Amino acid sequence: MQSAVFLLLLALVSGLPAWADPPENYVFHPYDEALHSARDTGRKVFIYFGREGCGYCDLTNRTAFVDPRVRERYQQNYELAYVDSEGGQRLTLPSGERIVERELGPRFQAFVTPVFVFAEADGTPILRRVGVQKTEDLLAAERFVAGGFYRRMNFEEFRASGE
Amino acid sequence: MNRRTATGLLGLGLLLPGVLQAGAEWTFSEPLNVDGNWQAGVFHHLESSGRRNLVVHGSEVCLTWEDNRDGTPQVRVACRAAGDPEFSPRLRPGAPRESYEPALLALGDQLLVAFEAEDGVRAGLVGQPEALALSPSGAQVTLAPAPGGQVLAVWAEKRERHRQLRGAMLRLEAGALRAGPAMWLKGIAGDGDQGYPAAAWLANREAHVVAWEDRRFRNTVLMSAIGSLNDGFSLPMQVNGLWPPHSSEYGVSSGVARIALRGGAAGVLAAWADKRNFRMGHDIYAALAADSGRFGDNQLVQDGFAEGVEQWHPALAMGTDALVVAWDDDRDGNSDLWLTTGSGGRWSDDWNAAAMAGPLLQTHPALALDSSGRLHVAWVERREAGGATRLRYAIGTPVAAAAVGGK
Repeated sequence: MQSAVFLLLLALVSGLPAWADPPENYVFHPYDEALHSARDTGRKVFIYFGREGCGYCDLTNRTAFVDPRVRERYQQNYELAYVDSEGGQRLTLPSGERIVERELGPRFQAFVTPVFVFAEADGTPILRRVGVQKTEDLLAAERFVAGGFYRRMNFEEFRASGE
Repeated sequence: MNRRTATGLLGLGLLLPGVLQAGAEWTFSEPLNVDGNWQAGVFHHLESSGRRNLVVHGSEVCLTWEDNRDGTPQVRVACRAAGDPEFSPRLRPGAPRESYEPALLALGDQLLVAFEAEDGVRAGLVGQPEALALSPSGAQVTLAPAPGGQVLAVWAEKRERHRQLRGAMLRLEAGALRAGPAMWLKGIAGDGDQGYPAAAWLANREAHVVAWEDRRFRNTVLMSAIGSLNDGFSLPMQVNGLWPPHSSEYGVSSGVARIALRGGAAGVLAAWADKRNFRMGHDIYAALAADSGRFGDNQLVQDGFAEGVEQWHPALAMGTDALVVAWDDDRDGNSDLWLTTGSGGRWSDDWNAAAMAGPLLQTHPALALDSSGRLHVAWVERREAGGATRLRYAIGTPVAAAAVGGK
């Protein structure tokens, strides 16, 4: 019986078009490569913790990351890192420690997906956003980091200020 | 009652009437350092596929791990005989450069360690420098006992578009390690990556149960199959509960990760991290495969005090009269080890011993039960997040009736 259920599900699911990877038309890199590039370019790092099959990642990809303003600002201003929060790709941290990418989750408190982290080039977090993001959320977060507002207020204060 | 279901509690009790009669409780020794103390820039990892890092072998307990003390990550093994004050490093099979994620298991009167190297999956005997190459490009190797003085090794390897599971039977001949041909596991292939296998021997079916992470549905599910490397395996069966997508338009479903299996008289027990309660991160679930080799009801093993915090790195041990599942979580403010004991058809309230908790960060438990019912526990410990590590070990001696330290 369970085998029959399995086959039925396989048939049904194989027809589904969408699963969560990095958003289309962006160039995301492994976490350690993004940090390395950030040290060369002076950019900050934007880290996307996703998961294959993650509905809220898919929703954010298809409704917010698709916006050309978001794409332009994120591509232009950040080294983009994608972390498969269940994945086994091996990474080298700035400390020299070698871990698999799933082990980044506990270190960034990324226990759900998606989680988005803006970070310095050494991986020090600046801003952490959890769950579905709308276009306005992504644009505001980008302004908050790129404009240096995070040095004098938190994100909620920033949003309330109307900057 | 917390989030465990009554169905699940009944299920394990019915399936394990002979095993789960006595509650297992232990008094723990003072912990030992397995490999010295913290050293700046040195990081230890206990993360074999299927959580096969700790083995009781004769009168010794042996641990395998990977660390970078020599500049590059390398597999290590250390053992401690009963009564010895400390662990002693053992000569272990080498790799050209880096090696990772070692799994350890007894093979006859020897100890076998299998690991991922830069040039694929290797295996060798502890105490000997040579390692056999099992696969030129595999990773995430695990081990399981097999009859006739053999061991099954299973790993993930790229095959055309996806990683699939491959294995080999290992045996001793005149004291030397010999490997049978590497074979793709027949009957389980799918259109998606497979990885992080676990395997165990199901004695009453005289067959292996293999479980793994599978992405054929475009999200990670846990699959299992029963069979043998030579004759093939059953159609894959999903281990974690079938959950409908949260949305008909977006995504597929919740995720799971890192299953571990152990076999015993009553069947094969599985434990894994499961994100079905997706707002709270992973919880730890367990299920039993008895006669049919199919895993039954999924049981949430952690108690209500774990609600709202995420659990990581499940490990398990299965003895003649005890089931133990361990993990780490930060319900008390930073990461501690937590354990639960299967007994009488129930999982106990979560517990730990003083050495496994406190202001330091304890993670990545590895467990083993010996024939005397003693519970061996090893783990990784840090002083601060991201900092240098040390390996700790403690042994729990059964007590007739006592409250085991904890929350």
